[in-house]
Amino acid sequence: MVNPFLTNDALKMFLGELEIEKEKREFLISKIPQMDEEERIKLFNVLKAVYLLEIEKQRAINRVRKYREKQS
Amino acid sequence: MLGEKKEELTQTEQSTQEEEQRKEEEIKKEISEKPKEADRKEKTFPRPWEEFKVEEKRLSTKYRGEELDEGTKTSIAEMVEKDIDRMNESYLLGWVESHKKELESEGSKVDEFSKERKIALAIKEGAFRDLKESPDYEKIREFKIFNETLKKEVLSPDDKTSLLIFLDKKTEGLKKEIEEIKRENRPEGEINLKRKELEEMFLERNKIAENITGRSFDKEIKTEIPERTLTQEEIKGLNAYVEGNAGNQKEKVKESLKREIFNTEWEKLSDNEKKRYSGFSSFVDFKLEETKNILKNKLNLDLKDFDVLTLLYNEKHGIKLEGLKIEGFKIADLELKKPSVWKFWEKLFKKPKIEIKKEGMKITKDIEDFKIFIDSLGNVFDKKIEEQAKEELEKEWIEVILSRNLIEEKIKKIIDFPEEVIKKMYEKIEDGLLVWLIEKELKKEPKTKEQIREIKEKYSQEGLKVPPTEVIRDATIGRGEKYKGSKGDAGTDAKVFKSVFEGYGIDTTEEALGYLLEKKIGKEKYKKSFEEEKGFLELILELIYLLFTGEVPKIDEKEKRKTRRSKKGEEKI
Repeated sequence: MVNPFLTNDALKMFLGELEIEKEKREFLISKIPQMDEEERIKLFNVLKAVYLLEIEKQRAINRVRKYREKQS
Repeated sequence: MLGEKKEELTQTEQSTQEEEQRKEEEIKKEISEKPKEADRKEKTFPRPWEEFKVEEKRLSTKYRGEELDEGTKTSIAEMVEKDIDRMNESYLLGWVESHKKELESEGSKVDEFSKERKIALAIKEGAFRDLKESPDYEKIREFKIFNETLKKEVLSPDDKTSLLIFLDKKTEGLKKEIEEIKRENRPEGEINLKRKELEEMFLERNKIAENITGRSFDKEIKTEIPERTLTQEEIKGLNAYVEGNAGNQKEKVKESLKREIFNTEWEKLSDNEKKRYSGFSSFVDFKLEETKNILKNKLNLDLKDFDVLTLLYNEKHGIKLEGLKIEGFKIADLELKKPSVWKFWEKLFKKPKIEIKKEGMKITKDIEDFKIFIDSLGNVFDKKIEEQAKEELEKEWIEVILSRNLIEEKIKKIIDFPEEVIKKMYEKIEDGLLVWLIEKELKKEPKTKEQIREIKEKYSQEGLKVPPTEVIRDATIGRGEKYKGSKGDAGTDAKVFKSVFEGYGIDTTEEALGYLLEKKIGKEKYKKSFEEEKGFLELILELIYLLFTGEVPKIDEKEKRKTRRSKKGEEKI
């Protein structure tokens, strides 16, 4: 059985949801069908890190926005 | 007896072992053909995360920019501490003022107390207990929070940005204070102190702003300024600056020209000789006086210091006068041509003249004319001083005022749109990770047809019903909502997990999840992961991974019900 995070569909969906450069997204999508397991795991890990950074970014923006509003 | 007991125990042990072996075999049967590569997978997923973490940290550090240096942090912390002290002091004095009546006893008037005594009294009487109700409370708290932030080893992007906003606000406050001091005609010294603080504040803000943007404002403005057309307002500012400082600057230029004229001679002196003159400036005075005397004795000329300086400058650089063939002559080239005492008519009708001889050329001038000639040289010399002063002031205005204003504009932009800076910072890290993946980690060698066929077969099947982002979001920011009811207890949380996983299109059972949580992950590790955001996410991903690697017996629902019924039956029996 295959890890459901590593299927073509799941990885494509993952890429589609992230705010990354169009060029890089398209390149990676085109590579997915031929990626072996090791490559898929690496891709998944990077995408996960990118998404976690997006969450962290949003939180940082909210915190700083709140602080600035409090200051003005 | 003992022997019998031992035998009994051995028998019990044996039967337990047999029971366990039987169970294990049952589980093995139930597991639908465990894939051979599962073990390998277990080693690579999610374990490579550990390796990847190192790379992620390296890239994050690279793109997050340098940490603010300790010096900056300490000097800001000191500033903030001083503010806290000031605010506390003002609160305590205010508190004494409003509690005067209660504090005064016969013969003791609070108004007559010194500031220190008032503060000590307020602390003794427990003024800080009322601080929470005071309007000063929030402000003091905010400053204290900043001091705590500054103690962190690594400041987050929003910490740094908030710090910048905080210092900017403080700068505004300082500017207002300076205006107030000016309005109230308070001593200049007070303004100077505030200006010093303002300058420090600018340097700190500049450092933080450069740090969070990864830019160098100095470099930027060096390329921007030459291409810039000054605005009307800036031209006005520049002119006012040049006019306002021209007098002082001319003096400075004159001093620098003196250095130029006399330095070579000064440097030739021994240390003892230098000491005798007690410094360069008295050496210059001495030299001017000496030259003045030479001119007086040799040419009968009584000149001012400036004229002598003009002549000496001319001697060194050669002042060019329009219509005059000689450019630059030495004082030694000047000669006084007196009328002959032997020639009666010369004695009667001719005046002494001054001759300038240079490279075979000769100019003769009456003494009065020569003085006018020196004046003309002086005018040129003065013009040079003025031009140089203006040039220096313009340069100074660009470096000090215009550059400062342009940097302030850049800082202001960051403060007005802090989101942009934070966004850029994260984008850099994200992009760095993707580039690292594409350029270094994806294999370059082509795969064989057979490999491609295998990959296609394996990964074309359906995976999750939702994007992986949803799974991650649910386990991090949406955790309170999605995993509501989970308590960090491996025994009871399986039910919650089952229902969440079903939403992702992952069918499983409470038993399977319970088995994984308790046996594979372990109660303790689970409890620890449960308490951390990233740990919890890793746990969820690992659980899903384990479910698909055949690490758990597949228990059919019907079979499960049957087992439950038979168990109940057994209990009845």
